[in-house]
Amino acid sequence: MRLGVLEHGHGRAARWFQKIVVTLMGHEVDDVVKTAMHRPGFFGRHFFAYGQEVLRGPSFWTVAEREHLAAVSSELNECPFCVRVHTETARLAGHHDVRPELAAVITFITLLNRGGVTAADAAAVRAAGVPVEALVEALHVNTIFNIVNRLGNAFGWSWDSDEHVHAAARVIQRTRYRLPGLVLR
Amino acid sequence: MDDPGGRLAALRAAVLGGPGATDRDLRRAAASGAAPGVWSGYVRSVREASYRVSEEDIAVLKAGGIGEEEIFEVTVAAAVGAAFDRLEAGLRAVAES
Repeated sequence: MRLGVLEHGHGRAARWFQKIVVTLMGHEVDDVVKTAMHRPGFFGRHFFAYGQEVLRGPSFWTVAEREHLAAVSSELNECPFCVRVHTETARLAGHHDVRPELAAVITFITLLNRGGVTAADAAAVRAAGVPVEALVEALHVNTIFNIVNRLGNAFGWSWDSDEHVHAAARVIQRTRYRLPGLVLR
Repeated sequence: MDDPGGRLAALRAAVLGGPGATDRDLRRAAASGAAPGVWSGYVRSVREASYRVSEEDIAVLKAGGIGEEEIFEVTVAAAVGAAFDRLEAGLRAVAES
């Protein structure tokens, strides 16, 4: 990472947590979590609270669909770090085919991230059978990744190996983006 | 989802209005893409083409006497601001449809 404070600037609980993860899993805590654990009251605690609800809370979209959307947004924002892990989390969550409702939302998100959307674009999504609340939920998924893609690119987040990516994806699948409360205090 | 807008508002309040190494005015300017002086080009890159941000960009800021905590805060503010603007654009289109 390009900022030493994100690599090493953590409180005692976060430092212990990192040691335990390395011991148990044989991999370092990923750069998203390291960034979130740095002064968590400024960013990480609130970001994870938002992310947990958007990515794992009740929704019109399945977990697999939200993870697929995460990978799509990350691709549009050219964040290879996020593309790699969310492609894997979508696979682990059982993502297969894109149903027409999700395809319509992907078109909308693509237009939005590439320049802008109009009322007609939103109407087209609704005409495809997507309720307004579901479109808003998808917009929040896109918002999460518009934040995190920029941070990943600017801070130089990286993976040690493909196995590191797969291990992180398995942790996400199991923990549902929950971190021990102590590390975000 | 249980009030994602409220959770995003809490995130924005912490990043843009909470205590930090930088002035709140600077963070708010970064969020809106109008950061002054030495921050101008960097914030524009984070907002508009973050994949172009390089090791050298960060090194230039540090060489100018800017600390890592400041870079952390301004980068997060720029990212949150850009993402929020995009969300608002999407929600406007939905409301008008």
